[in-house]
Amino acid sequence: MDIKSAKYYNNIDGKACGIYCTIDDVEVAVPLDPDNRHYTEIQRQVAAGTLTIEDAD
Amino acid sequence: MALTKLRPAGQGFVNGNRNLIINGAMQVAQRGDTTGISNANSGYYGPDRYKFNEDGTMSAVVSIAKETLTSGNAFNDGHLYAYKLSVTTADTAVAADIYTRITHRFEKDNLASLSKGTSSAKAVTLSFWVKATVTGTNVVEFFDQVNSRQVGATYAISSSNTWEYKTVTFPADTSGALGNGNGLAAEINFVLQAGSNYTSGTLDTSWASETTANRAAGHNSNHFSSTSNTFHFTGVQLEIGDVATDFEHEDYGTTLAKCQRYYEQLLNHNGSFNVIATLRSGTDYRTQWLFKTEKRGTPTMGGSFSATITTTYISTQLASYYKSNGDFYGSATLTADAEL
Repeated sequence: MDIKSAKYYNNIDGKACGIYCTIDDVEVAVPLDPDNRHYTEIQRQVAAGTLTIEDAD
Repeated sequence: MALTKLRPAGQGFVNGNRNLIINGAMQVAQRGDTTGISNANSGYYGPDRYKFNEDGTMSAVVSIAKETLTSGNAFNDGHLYAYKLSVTTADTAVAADIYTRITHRFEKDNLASLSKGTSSAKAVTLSFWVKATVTGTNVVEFFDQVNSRQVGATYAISSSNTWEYKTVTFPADTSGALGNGNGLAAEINFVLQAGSNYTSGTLDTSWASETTANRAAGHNSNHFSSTSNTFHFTGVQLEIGDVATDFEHEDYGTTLAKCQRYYEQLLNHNGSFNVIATLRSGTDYRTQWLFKTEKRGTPTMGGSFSATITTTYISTQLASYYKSNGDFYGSATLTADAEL
């Protein structure tokens, strides 16, 4: 899974609620849910040091 | 591996929902056909609920499509559609670390009837139609993702480009309970390519702890060996017991709803808006996409209305969006992906 440009985003209350990123050349919003396979893969790549998630604006 | 017994036609069980596979008849293909699938592109393409899954550095490039059948043994058995994989760039030398397969994944609650990990554990039988250019021995694997346990079976493709019906029975497993909930429990893997890292051992025909070298031992078919190769399958059924019964045909709407638990899309209809935004105050627009089917888990949202529109909340039932300044332009195809 090719993941690029990962960045947290906040809901309208200012709380982090997901990660914007590009997966296999498609822009997506990934929820912070351990049952979500994309979130699991993001966490794996972060732990492996191959992906960094930017802070939300 | 126990011999599989065939029940005479017309004497199959009459109760419904015995097929644990979703979209076994390949009716539903929400994502459409995909070309140019290459290394590191494991994902869902073509008919719903089947994942093209590859480990290692795959040098082949393939296309995946929903095929409409008009003749052949599978068609004559009542199957109108199939999963079709075509090779567009060949791989003649299978590297040791290659393990390419088509995977069907099950969530935990949906495998409760197996009683896996108990003294009452049940055997299951997998049946399917297959047609491939390459003849030889193939492995199909049942892999327990919770406990990293495996069991495999072999089947032969005897005649090139000819539909053949296959059945294999996987024995009961009294070890390794799958638990409950919506998480990943287990998967069926139809192996397409397996390097020596996966074939150098002995196939586990009884359940065993994961051993990579045993996973596809005996598989000697490289379905990506030529650009003229194709691999098709349909009529996939996994059921409790050691008997393959007649395929359980299901109406399209029921199968679609089952598939939409894992993936749903809201199409862009010729540029028309696919959602209606509400002006909340000033220039602050809000809108929601209410899913037709509640998702297995919180989905990944794909597609966007425009760069300045924000996804604010995602649940198993809906996704909400807002734009703080200006008109809400909504003409993209939106996707919600809660696949395993």
